[in-house]
Amino acid sequence: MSHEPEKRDGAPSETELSHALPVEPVDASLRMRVQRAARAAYEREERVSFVWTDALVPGTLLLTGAFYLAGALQKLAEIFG
Amino acid sequence: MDEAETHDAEREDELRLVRALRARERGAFDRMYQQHHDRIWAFLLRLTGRRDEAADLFQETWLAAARHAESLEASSRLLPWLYTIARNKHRNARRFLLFDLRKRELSALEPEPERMGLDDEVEARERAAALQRAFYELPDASREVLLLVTIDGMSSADAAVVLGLKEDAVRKRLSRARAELTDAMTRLENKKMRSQARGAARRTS
Repeated sequence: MSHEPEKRDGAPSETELSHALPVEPVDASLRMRVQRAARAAYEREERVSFVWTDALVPGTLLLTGAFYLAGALQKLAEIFG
Repeated sequence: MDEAETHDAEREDELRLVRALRARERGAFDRMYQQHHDRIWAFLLRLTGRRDEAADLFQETWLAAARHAESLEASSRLLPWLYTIARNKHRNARRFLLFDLRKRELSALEPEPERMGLDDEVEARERAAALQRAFYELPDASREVLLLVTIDGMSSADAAVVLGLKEDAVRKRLSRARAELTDAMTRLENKKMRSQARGAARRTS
């Protein structure tokens, strides 16, 4: 049987845990580099969604117009051809 | 303005920012970054225990937040959303970082069993080192819940969002994590006391 000392009351408090895991603030170069990269990604996605929305409406109108124009030309061809 | 009014005003500001982010308004991302980058950094640094790994995950987290801003729900809370991204990035990275994990464990602070007659300051420092070591011996799930609730002071409702659990499950996991941490501390302290006892026995013989 062991006679070595045993410790059973070692429950750490919340404050102790915070102190045991100290945090240095993020360094300025990393903070700025990440902000620049993430902002660029955010704005790129913004542009992509803008271009998509912007292209969708006129594109649809153009296709619809082309479809009706082709139909009309076909009718004219039937009448005069 | 009392505490409840302050809380309501803060929530209203947060909801405005969420709307702006969903609409991808210019400037909205920078506002979110300014408000929350330090807490996300602290979470990742404590979770990984390594500055280089935390830096990579920090960048990945914010890039993902920038790319998926429109996936925010209108009633989302920003901090839990960001913590969720950070936690997922860490879990994904851990699948490929077993070798690095071993390196971190080896470089963790070792208790110093040979130092006898310690004053309070040294004893406190040694206990902090042992606590740090015990913390990094815990499984990821336990470290996450301890960081979110115990250190960051997050409510169990918000922690449930981050961890993808029900509130009851968060409370159970927290209770288990605290028990695991205490056990790990006890193991380390017993190991240290045994080592000190052996050292004392060698000196007297």
